[in-house]
Amino acid sequence: MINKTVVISTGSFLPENTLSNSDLIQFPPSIIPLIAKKTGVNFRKFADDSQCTSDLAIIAASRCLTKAGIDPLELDALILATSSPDRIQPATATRVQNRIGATRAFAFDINSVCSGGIFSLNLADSLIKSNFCKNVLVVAAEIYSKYLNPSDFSTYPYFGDGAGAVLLSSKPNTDRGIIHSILRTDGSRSDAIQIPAGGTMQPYQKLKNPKDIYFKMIGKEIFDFAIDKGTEVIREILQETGVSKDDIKYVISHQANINIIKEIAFRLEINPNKFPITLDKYGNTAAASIFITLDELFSCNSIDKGDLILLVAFGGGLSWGANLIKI
Amino acid sequence: MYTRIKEAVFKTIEDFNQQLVDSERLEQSMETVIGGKDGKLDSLQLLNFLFDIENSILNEIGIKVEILNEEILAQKVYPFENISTLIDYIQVILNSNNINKTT
Repeated sequence: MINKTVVISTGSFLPENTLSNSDLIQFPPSIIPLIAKKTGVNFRKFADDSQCTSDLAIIAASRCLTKAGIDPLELDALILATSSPDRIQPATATRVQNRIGATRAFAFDINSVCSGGIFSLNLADSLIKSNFCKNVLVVAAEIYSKYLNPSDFSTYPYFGDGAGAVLLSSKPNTDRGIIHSILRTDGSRSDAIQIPAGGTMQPYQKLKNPKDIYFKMIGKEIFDFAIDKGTEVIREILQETGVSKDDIKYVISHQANINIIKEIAFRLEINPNKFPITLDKYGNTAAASIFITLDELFSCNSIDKGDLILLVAFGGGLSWGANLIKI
Repeated sequence: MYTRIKEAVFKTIEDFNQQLVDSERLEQSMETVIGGKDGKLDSLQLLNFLFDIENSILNEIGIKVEILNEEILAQKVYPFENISTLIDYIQVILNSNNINKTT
């Protein structure tokens, strides 16, 4: 019997600094109520100037390992999903590996933007099922506040910083674990979400436009894409596994926008109460959002062993995917 | 006044384009469709654009104009079909402000 990849524990960390919508005084007061109305975001957490992405990841990872009661030396691999790394190189995961004392683990980053958590879980599952690893720590951490244009009303109010972690281990003789994953990419739309400068396409020393250092997205295109692909991939994963939507306890969606999540629930005829929401408190934390939400559910004992949960995300790349997990 | 408003709007387009993805950039033309179903900007970008125009008119012409008023936000009026209708709308607001000041 093939060993299963079982979720052992979760952890998360949100920076202390909280900004409410009314704290965003750079925008006219008349349009501030539209932030909540258009996206559902009321607050966001921003890292302070001294914090980098790995700092958030380290705390989330440590909390996850503490809950599991596992020695960091038992980790075989550490995968960090981030699209806001500490530096261009090396991988942000390497600093996390060192700081948490996981010296036996190999460590690397995955950048699938908001779908990074989904992609990383699938990769960890493959490492475990191929017997290459026994214990894999998957972390997703983002600090978007350092990439946002403070005067851009169409991006700045909607994102937040944070980190989440999931510890996965190989377990024999169980029906629990990651049941199935679907990963998708449409590279023809790779320009739709981007930070144009800082890479080899437009190095900082050849900056054409000062605002190219900031996060940009084609909002109209992304809203429709997220609803279409989020709905489609949930249908696909249920169909491929033969699992009924009624048997799913929670659909943990990427926390991009309340209206996207509501529309996906509506199209699938799934009770919207099955879609936990954290974006109202934390904003869109990109790859970290599904792990943060998952950890909150565990922390308030809303998930029990044997529950079926579905994780779904969509974002830059464009990329999207889903994991079906029996806890 | 119309010419000065037009210059301020076109300058806003030039600056605003810097924060857009290349394929999304607005042409400096009176026919450029900005809002609505066929517009290049989503609703949040449109608000941001209008906010920038308010600032541009203040900086370039020295007049404080409130484009983002309650009627707009409640979508009771929709003058954002294209740049031409937007400029006309700004002119109407400025004329109205002027009349109010003189009466």
